[in-house]
Amino acid sequence: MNPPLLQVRGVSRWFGGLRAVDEVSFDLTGHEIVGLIGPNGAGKTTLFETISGFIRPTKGTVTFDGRDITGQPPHRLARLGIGRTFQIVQPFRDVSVLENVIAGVVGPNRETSDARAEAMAVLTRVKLDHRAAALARNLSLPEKKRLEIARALATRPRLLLLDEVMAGLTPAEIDDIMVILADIRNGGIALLIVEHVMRAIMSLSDRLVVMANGRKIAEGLPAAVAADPSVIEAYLGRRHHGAA
Amino acid sequence: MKPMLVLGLAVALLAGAAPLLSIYGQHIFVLVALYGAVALAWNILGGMAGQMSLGHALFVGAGAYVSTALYLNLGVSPWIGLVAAAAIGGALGALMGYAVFRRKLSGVYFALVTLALAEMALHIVSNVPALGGANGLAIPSKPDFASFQFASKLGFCYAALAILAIVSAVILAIHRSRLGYVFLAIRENERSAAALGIDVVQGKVIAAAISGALAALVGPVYANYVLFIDPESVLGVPLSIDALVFSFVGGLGSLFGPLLGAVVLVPLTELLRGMLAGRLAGVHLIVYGVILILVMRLAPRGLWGLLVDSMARRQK
Amino acid sequence: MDLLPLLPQALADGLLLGGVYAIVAVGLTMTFGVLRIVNFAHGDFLAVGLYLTYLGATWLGLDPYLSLVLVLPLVTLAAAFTYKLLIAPVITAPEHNQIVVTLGLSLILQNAMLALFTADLHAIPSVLSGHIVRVGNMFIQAAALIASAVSIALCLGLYWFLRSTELGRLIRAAAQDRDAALMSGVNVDRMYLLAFCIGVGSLGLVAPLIAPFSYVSPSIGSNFTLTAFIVVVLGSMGNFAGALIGGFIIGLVEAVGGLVTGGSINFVITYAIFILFLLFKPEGLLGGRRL
Repeated sequence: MNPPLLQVRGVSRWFGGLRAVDEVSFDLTGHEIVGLIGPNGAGKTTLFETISGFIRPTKGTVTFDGRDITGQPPHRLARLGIGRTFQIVQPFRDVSVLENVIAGVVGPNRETSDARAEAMAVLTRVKLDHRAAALARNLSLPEKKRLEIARALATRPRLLLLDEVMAGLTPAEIDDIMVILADIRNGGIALLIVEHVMRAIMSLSDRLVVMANGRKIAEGLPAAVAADPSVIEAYLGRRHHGAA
Repeated sequence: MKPMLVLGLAVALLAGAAPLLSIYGQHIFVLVALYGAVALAWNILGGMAGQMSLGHALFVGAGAYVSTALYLNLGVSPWIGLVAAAAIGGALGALMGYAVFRRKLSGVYFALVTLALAEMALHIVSNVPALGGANGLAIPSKPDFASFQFASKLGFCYAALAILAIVSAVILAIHRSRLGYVFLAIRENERSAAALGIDVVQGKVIAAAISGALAALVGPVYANYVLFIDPESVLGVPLSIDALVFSFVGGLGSLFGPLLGAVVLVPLTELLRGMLAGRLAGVHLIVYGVILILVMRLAPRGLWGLLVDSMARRQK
Repeated sequence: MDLLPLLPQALADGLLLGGVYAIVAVGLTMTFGVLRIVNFAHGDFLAVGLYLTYLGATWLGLDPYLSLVLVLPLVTLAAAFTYKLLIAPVITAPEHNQIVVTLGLSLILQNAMLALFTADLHAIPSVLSGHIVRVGNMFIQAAALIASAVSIALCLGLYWFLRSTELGRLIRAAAQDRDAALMSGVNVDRMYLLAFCIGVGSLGLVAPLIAPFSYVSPSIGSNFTLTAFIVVVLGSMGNFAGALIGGFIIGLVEAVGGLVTGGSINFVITYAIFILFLLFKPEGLLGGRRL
């Protein structure tokens, strides 16, 4: 069993009296896809923000590769190997797709012999290489999503955090993304995915972590979690788009 | 290294053209080069890195006063004064940048702080007799290389051109390096920049330091050209506004748009100022105001943007 | 220290100066503190009001307290035009758009006034000009007292308006969450227009009130703009009581500073306070609103 790449231990985040995240703990090893699911308002995004360094947890620790990264700023986490995408994709609009990805290559400030070539290789992985010269603002939504993934990939992460990357996509586009994500995982990068598109996250994830009201209410293989009564109850009456 | 080659050629061309100009033409040449350099420097912070300064005169004035004070009081050659100016400008930029940006205050507050700082400097200098107070400092005419004064205007053309070349070379170097991407990311989306491993505060501070150092270089050259500096002329709001207006008109964030803005607006302003005097002296500022509004509404990417768009259309 | 006997007068001057700063800052609190609109031409509307008052005196022989009836609506109208033509189009655009557009407006206004009226300073005659009230050892301009009183009243009035009236509630809703307000059917644009007109239009009230003890010149606006922003930050954005307190503090600092140092160093103290606050206590004196 691989030592865990990411260890979330008792992470809590309070906003005044509101416990957005309440004592959440789970591990993630180096070659798996873990899906983070739960009804709206469950605290998934807040948890994401604490893991990726944008918010400080009120309590608890986050450990990455054996090293305590609690409260570290995002840019330092990126340099350590944690990449993330954002729910509302915002590429650098007035420059080309390639330039966007080059920014990801050189951002973490490490040695690169040929940033351009490296960026092109990443674009090929997400099947966006044919649009390398296009201005980012002229991309379609699915293309922008893939650019978002490419940019994060370019930072050479060992863990990639994906925030609702499939929102707003058609079923065919979702299938495309799933193939890309599986490919990334097979290439040795762990993925932690927040997603509402049930069909995708069920089939893609190796394991699931379920949150509701800020707490973790279930964890395990997708089939087991889907049958868990507390999970079903959390979702009861809350049908959302993309449910299988 | 091709862009550097193009820059070198352009500089050579301009250097060759300068002697062919009339005395008045050479005067305009010097002004365009100096104002262009300030605008280009401003644009590094304001356009490339996206942090608008309303007090860039602070750097120009600091450079001018440091160099002039050193020369008048200690006989230090303005050539050394140039180095001192850049050092002071860079230090001021870095300090100011660090103090403001690590607080993560939004653009308006940075703009206000730069304005307040420049005004503070203006009022302080106006009250320091050793720096000439409100009456300013006059530099005795001594056309001699060591004193950074040239017998003919042509010498100043070359000096101003050299400053412009230095600023341009720095801009090109930034553009081709990681720093260029750092500035781009910071300007476009700070959160994304952080997620890509970019230390946003550090990037902004570096932008402020470089911008300040380069703007300060213009100070000593201007001082020795006009042989007189006073708080209003080198620390005043109009100079800060000029840097901003030229950059916006020429093309905010483009590499050399601000120079284009200076090329268009400086001769225009001189013309207007020549035609109207006295109470109509501020008319060129009305024109600036109108132009600013029109550019913001109709052509946000400035003249450079219009040029690029029309060339793209012609290619189709 | 032989400056001590002069202190009470400086304090009195400072309070009255502060009253002027406060009343100018109150309007900015509405536009910048509540609406988050950056208007670098704020002070220039005051100058416009002053020149209108001046014209009222020289063309129509009207005392400022009378021409108020004309100046207030005129300045408010100018505010409405400014909002519709310049601000509304860039209200959701990046901040620097508003900065540049209002900067352009400031340049136009200041230099148009320069061209029309020259840089000469003009005084505006009024029935209360030079009318001094004596309190102990202090000599206070009656007109300044009136302006300060109105300043306090305006602050309280606007505070009450925003807190306790339906319209005020709508304005705050529109300002705090545009999208939510739009979805609830609030006419966000009209709310912003109204609030902006109140904020800038108030300068049409201020100008005639300070005319009897002030002068008018084209550049008087830019001093007031920067000082008003400083007061708003000092007084904690969006807080009318803060604008009042901040204004009085700045006025006192400048008057006493002027006494102690002479020259124009008093402005330096104001700017230094501003910078220090932004760096160490950006939430202002009264805390609360984050920047």
